[in-house]
Amino acid sequence: MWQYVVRRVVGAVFVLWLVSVIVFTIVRALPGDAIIAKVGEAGRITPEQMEAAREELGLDKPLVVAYLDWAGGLARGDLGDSYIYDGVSVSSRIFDSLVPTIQLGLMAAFVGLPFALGLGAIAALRQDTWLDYPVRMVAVLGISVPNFVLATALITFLAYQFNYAPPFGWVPFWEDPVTNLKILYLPVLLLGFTFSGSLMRMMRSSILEVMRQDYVRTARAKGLNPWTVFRMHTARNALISVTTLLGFQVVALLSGSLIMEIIFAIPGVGRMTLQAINLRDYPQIMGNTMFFATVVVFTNLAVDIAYAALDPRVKYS
Amino acid sequence: MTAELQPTAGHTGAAISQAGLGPSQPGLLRRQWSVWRRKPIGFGSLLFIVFLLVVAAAGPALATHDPLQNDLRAVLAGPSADHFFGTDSNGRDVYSRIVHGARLSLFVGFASVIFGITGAVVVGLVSGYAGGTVDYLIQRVTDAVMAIPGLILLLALVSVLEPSLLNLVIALCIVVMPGTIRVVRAEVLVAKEYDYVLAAHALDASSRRIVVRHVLPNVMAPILILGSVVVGTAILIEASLSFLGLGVPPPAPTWGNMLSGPNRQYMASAPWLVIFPGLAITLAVLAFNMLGDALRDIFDPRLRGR
Repeated sequence: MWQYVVRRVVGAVFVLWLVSVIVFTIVRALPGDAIIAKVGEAGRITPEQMEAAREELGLDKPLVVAYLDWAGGLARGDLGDSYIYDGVSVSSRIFDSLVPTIQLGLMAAFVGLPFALGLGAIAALRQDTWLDYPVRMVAVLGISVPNFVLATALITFLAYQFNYAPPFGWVPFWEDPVTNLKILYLPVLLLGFTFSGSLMRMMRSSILEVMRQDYVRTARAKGLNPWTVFRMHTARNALISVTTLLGFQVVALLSGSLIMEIIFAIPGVGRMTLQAINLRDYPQIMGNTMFFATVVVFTNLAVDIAYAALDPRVKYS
Repeated sequence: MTAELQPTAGHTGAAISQAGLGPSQPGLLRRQWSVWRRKPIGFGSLLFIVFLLVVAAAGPALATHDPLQNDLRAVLAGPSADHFFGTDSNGRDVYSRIVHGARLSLFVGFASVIFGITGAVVVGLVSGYAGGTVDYLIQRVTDAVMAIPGLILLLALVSVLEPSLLNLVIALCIVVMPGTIRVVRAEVLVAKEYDYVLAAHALDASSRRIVVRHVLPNVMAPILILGSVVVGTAILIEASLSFLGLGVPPPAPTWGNMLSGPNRQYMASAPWLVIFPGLAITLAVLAFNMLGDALRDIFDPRLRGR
């Protein structure tokens, strides 16, 4: 087991190193002058900031040296400095916008998970009935309706019917919980809904799969009541395969959060990333991309390890 | 594991020829019909996709107005005989913009899937068939690309590339490839162990021949299923990107940018600005997803109804 954990951790670090090479290559694929021209395109940049940009990106150094500088900083947790915001480090800006994103993501997961797992299970237990079809429909809609379309349509409808106006500005939860939740309830529900679509389908299909297993039939045959069979055998085993989807769900939450943050003016990491892209703040873009990838890689790592620890059938090879 | 999966390939192979992808025989249309008749939703989706393709191809001929023409006498006009879907805040005809947008959305969707999947099949075949270090390295690179959320990766790519249709397709290809590579590789790993592949080895067939003649056909069904879903995903991502103002730049009409920009503030009083582009995106993505579901049922009857 420990050997497995160590090997997975090494694998994760290797993947993150590759991500850093990819991210660096994307930004440095352009010749230095072109990058500086891009920075200039964003406008509102003083000559000093331009010089800072040149220095921060290591445009005066050979590629390999510039990469080693940047990656060395990464390894020490130093993502460099934003050249749009004077003297502000990339990591401190990520840190400052983390809370809204985490709150939005966690609340959406908290709403979406029970919704998805519950409905998915009900649909499977009542396969091909009037309970199954609507759930399948909802799940397919959750996957197919783009979240920005749903959000825009809902806002328009609420504005038309109830004079709803999307929030302006942001209030942290600990300063004013009521206002905070008033800002967040709509994005949380929307994100929770789009997040639950694929999860609902996965839950439904894996319960259907497990229900046909011999051990479930045995449990029924020996006279256990159906609820106990479901709780002790079906649901437990179905959840194992649902867990593997968790890594993808974190990606879905991160990208979904980005859209919600922009539509509802929430100052999270996603909105900050888009801002950095519009300003061509390359150190910030690189830092944020690394940050997102790190979250995803470590979630997957945690899922894999938990999976191996929970499911005795998983081989550590 | 392998023994358990082998019957699947039998089914898949049979289903392929049943679905008319095998050598063409008389009665092809009739056999196609007998398969699709049992999949009304999938068939409906297929028809809708054909309809979208016709709209995209006929494009300008179907439009009633110039999609870029401002008309200040008809700003924010509701749907009427003159403007089927109403007009936007510049007085541009929403219907004509959607028709023109269909061409772009479908082009981007199909182009990125065709190029992305072709590339992914080649890489996946090499990775699965070669095994060893080559496989390990390719897999870690796909892990790395998949670790970056698709939308973020695209945003980073478009922040560097010049905004153009070609660059958008290239960026989308990079985003859709890793998932497909994984699927192809997994299929190759299974197909590699089949008796007839081993037999081909024993007969000293070249690797290229084995891969192309014996392994690749096994991979076709999952690719077709995935392809359908990925066209939907590509359309969705392109729309999200234009919604964020980073797709094909305005004033070019795209389904995504019709929902953003100055139009947003008029939506509550002019709901047609939301309804029609929103429906266009949703129905297109939905159709490709439902078609993918139907194809999966047809190719792998074991999964029917799951």
